[in-house]
Amino acid sequence: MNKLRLILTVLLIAAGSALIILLVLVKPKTPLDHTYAPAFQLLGRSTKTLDRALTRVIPVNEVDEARYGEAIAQRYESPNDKKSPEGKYLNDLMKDISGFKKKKFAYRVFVVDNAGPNAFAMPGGVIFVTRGLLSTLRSESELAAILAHEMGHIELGHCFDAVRFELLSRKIGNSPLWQLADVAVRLMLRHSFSKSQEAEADGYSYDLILNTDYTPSAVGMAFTSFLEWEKKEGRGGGRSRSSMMRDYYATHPDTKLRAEKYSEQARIWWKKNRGEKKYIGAENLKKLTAYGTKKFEKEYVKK
Amino acid sequence: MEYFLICVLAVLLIILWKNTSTIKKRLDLLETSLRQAGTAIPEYVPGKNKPRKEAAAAPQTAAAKKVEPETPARMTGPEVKKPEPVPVRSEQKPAAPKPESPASLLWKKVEKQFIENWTGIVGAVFLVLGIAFLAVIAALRLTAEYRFAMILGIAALLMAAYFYLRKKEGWLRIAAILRSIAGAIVLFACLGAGVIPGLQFIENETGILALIGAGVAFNLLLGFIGPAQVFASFHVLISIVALSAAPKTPVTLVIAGTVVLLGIAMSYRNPWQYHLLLTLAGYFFYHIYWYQVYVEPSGLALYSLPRMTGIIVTAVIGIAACLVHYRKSYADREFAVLPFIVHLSNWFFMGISFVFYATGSKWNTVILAVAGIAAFALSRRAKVLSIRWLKVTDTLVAQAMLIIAIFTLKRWGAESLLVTGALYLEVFIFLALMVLEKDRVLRTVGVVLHYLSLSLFAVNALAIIDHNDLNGQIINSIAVAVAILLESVFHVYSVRRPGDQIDTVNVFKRDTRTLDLSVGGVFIGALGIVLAIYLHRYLWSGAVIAALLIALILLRQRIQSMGLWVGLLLFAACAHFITWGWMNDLVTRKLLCTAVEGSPMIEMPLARLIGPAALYGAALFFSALALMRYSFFDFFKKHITWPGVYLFTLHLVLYLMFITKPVSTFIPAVAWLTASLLYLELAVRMNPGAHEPGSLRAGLARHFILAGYALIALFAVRHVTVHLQSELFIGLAFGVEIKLRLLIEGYAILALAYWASASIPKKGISEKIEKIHPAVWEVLIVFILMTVALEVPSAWHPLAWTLMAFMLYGGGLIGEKTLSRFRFYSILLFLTAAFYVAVISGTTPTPSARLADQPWVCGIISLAMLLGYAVMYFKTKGLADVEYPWNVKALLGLIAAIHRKKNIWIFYPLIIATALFFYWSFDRAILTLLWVAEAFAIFILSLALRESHFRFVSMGALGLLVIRIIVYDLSQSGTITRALVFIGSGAVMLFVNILYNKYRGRFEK
Repeated sequence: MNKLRLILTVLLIAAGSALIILLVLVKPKTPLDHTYAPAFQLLGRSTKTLDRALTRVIPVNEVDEARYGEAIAQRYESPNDKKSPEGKYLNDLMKDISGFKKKKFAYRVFVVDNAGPNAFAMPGGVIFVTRGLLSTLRSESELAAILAHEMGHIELGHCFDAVRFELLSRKIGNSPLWQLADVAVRLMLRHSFSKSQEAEADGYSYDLILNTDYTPSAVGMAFTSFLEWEKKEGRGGGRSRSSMMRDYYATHPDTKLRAEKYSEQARIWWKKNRGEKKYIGAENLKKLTAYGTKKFEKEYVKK
Repeated sequence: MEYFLICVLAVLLIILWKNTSTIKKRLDLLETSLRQAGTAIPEYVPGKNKPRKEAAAAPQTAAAKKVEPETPARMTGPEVKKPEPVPVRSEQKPAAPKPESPASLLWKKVEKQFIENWTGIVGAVFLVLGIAFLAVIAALRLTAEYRFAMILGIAALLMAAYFYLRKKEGWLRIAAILRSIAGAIVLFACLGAGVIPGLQFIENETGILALIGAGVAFNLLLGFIGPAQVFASFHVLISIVALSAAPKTPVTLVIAGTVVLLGIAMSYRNPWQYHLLLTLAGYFFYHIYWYQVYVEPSGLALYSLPRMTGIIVTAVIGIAACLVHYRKSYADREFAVLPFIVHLSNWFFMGISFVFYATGSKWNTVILAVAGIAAFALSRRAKVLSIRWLKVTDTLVAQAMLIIAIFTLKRWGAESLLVTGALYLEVFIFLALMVLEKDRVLRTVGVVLHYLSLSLFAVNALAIIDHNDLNGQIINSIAVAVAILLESVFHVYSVRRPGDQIDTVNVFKRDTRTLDLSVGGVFIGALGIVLAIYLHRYLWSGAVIAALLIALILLRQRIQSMGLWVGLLLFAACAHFITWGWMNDLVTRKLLCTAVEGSPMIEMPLARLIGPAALYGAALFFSALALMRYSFFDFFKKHITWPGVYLFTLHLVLYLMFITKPVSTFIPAVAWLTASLLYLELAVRMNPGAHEPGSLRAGLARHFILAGYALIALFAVRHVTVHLQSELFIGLAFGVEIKLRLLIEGYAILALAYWASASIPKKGISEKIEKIHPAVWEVLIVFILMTVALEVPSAWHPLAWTLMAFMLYGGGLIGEKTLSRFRFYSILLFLTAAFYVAVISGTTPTPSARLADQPWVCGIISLAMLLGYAVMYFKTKGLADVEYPWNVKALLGLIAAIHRKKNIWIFYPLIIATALFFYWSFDRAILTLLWVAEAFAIFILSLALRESHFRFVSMGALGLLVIRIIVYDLSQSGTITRALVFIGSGAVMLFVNILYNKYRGRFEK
């Protein structure tokens, strides 16, 4: 027994040493010196699961969500939206992407006059995109990744979960009280799992992009574009440390971590799928012409 | 004039009233004493007991003497009857008189002196004043010469009265007073002739001084021949006062000095302490006045005659006064407060007087040093004469002078470290001498001074540190090293003489030597810290500091010093802190000190820094090892190994961090985890059970295990905060790439499993460890759960939890004795998986077209596995005989409840989960068919497990589904779907019927 244990000890220590040698040779580094965000993200999954279970027992459904989205769309829609080049381009692109949807309502994209790169989703298939996003991203594939991310929020029910009590109130009345319930949940729980939801939407986006002609690198590239913008604007793009409080209250995982994660996954995909051709779409974004409308041969890449 | 006389009368009345009050108090005291003695006191009737004339002259008994009135007023008081002797009974012993304090005695002496002589003094003053007034009146009518003659005539009359009365019995004292008054009048006349307007008739300065000198001489003569010190003091003081009115010249000072010297000479004749004090104080104030009026405003040269005169006269007087107490008459006396105060006052007056002449000259060092040495030599004379208080006083004064002399070394351009170093050495020599002399008071003072000077030296050494000054670095480091050496020698000496208690503090107030905290040991550690701060920038310094630490560790072991132990711990902790800081600086700031070569700091590439940094910090490992090995304490009769083990571990943790983190942020935690395995193995191989609990091996084994836990905890913290963020893949052989985080997690799981399965020695290790250690299994499970949650895609989580439930259940069965609680954990995982399948798996959309990505695929597999788990659970022990190594009653209660109602906890959650999964995952059209299938499965289960309630549930569900088919499916579904549902449902129900009829017997049994 002692001998066996000794052998095991030697083997384990040898394994540890081998791992250390491997690390010395490869010299891998982490994006941040340290961060609590992944831990919070991990812990947030259980809360998110319970929150989703709560939605399941509330008597509201996709039809209610569609009506809600329609109301939002009517509020923000203007006749120029679909006629503007950006509006038309985004909606064309969204039409291609939303082929993967499971929810039965139509997706609509609205352009917001804001210089910062941002996009956000509302229940019922309504997505807002800032003009700054269009100028920050470098290709259509990156834009598609962002739209897919927002679509993920809607498909995965994140937006629906946030307004479920409001939807219920529309059904049964007593609106202010139920809206208060949404606010309460948002205040008390949302911080704990909003990062998990973002990570889930990122995963949805990556899965969706994999099923399109766009390059799998698009997701990682989109985050890299955000990082560059943050750095240019001096908004903490070069931050290497985290604090526990900031990491807890942050709504999104750190962009550096997201960029590394999806760049690495894309690298592995390319390695496994040598010879495949995927689409970048820089020209499409430049000319505001969706891939579904026009394909540029030079935009196909092999890695 | 009338007003003045009324005032004088009023003052006299107040004095008389005060005196009467004092007499009354004394009489009361006497009565009380007599009553206590049991003597009857006759009633006093005013006028009845007349005072007898002879009472003052009558011989008195010793008892009466105690209350004998000492003033003339008292002599006129009522007669007090002499108390009869009272037989003293042995059982009524009088209470022993309370010993009076020296301060009280001193006050009584002062009071006695004043009361005995007040009439004389006040009388003389008033007489002089009266004559002065007369003189003033006369001045208006007579010429100055006549006035002078008139005053002298009055003095002559008084002297005549003196000569007449001194031979009369009982009039001697009055006569002496009259004589003193005459002396004062003569001096007044002389002074007036020279300097008082109205009486002045001499203009020549020499003449004035001569006349005043004559008056002073006459007074001194009277002081010399006077019968008591009060007269001597009176004549000396009025002489000084008179001189203060005379022109301020060096000659005047010399005359005043002569007067004071003669006054001091009177103290040689008799031990007149009050007189000496008054004389010295008189000179002190006169000298200040003389200096302020004459020397200071004139701005004389440093070495001018007046200044030199002042210095010499002051020195002569100071020395003369000092030597007063170095006479055999003071030998073998017990400590007396008054001579001590007088002696100390003399030093004080002399010191303050010399301050006026302070020139800032560097030669003051020599003068002070010589004076200090002389004073020290003088104090040795006191030792020979056995005048201990004088020895102590003058030794301290000598030491003070020498300390001041050393501080003045700055005037010679000496640097502060040299000054503080010299001070330290001087005090060290002083302490050594005092230790050899075995004088406890002086030795205590020496010890205090020693540590003060050492603190000053150390603080100064830190304050002047300049890492860019190579010469300074070398010299100062050597100085600190020498101090460490000297302190070590002194410490060994003091510790080896425990009875002397040279520098020890008994911390715990116990009569045990080991617990005595020798302060020197702490200071050695502090000096070590200073040295480490000086040297830490040199790469070789790691070895030097480690060597010093090891030497001190060996010394502690040898001399068993608690003080050195404390100092060592401080030194070791600080040395490590300093080393870590510098290592971090080296590798993060990419700086390397090459001060030895002349250039202070140069920037270097990281690769060239890690090696030197590693060597730099490595030496400290040896010191921590020495701290483990040489850790025996005689007092505790065991090894105290924990400081060594934890310091070693902390150093290992940070050392690995600083050295490996710049290469890869992943390495430190992996290295810590690997080190924890070595710790565990070392602890096991120590075989602590074969040794005494206090033995070195047992101590090491225990703390190695605890430190190993700490390493695991550190790994976990770093894994969560650093590793979790990484999504990097790392290439292995044959082009295989694996997620780096997963690789580390795999290794961690193996290491934790090794830890958890390790047989911790039962003996020699504390019970706490035995209690804690089983929890490593829980740590392992949590870590695996975390890994699965991270690395397995969300869609496949229920399957992962189900598999883990299987594994834990199996583990709980195999490790029945120690791991039975795993079966309970498997239930928790089972329920989690069921919940996930019910709520999440069916409602999570995916854009992926791949079958493997579809949540329902995993859901179905998971449900099948969960069913398998449930069956296994029923077929085996379930949660029977689950035990915990800890006292967790609430948890055991829950386990028992689950075991009792396993259907509710196991099967029904599974049934509900399946139904919900179908509901969320599949089209409503085929939902009825799926639920019918589920009901059929429940029926099969009831057959297999022979549980009737499953059959009832199955039948009930089928009944409800029939209603649903009729109400819902007939109206909502398409024709083909409707047909399929009908066919399927019908077939299932037929099967149920067949099976029921075939196996009915099972239920009946």
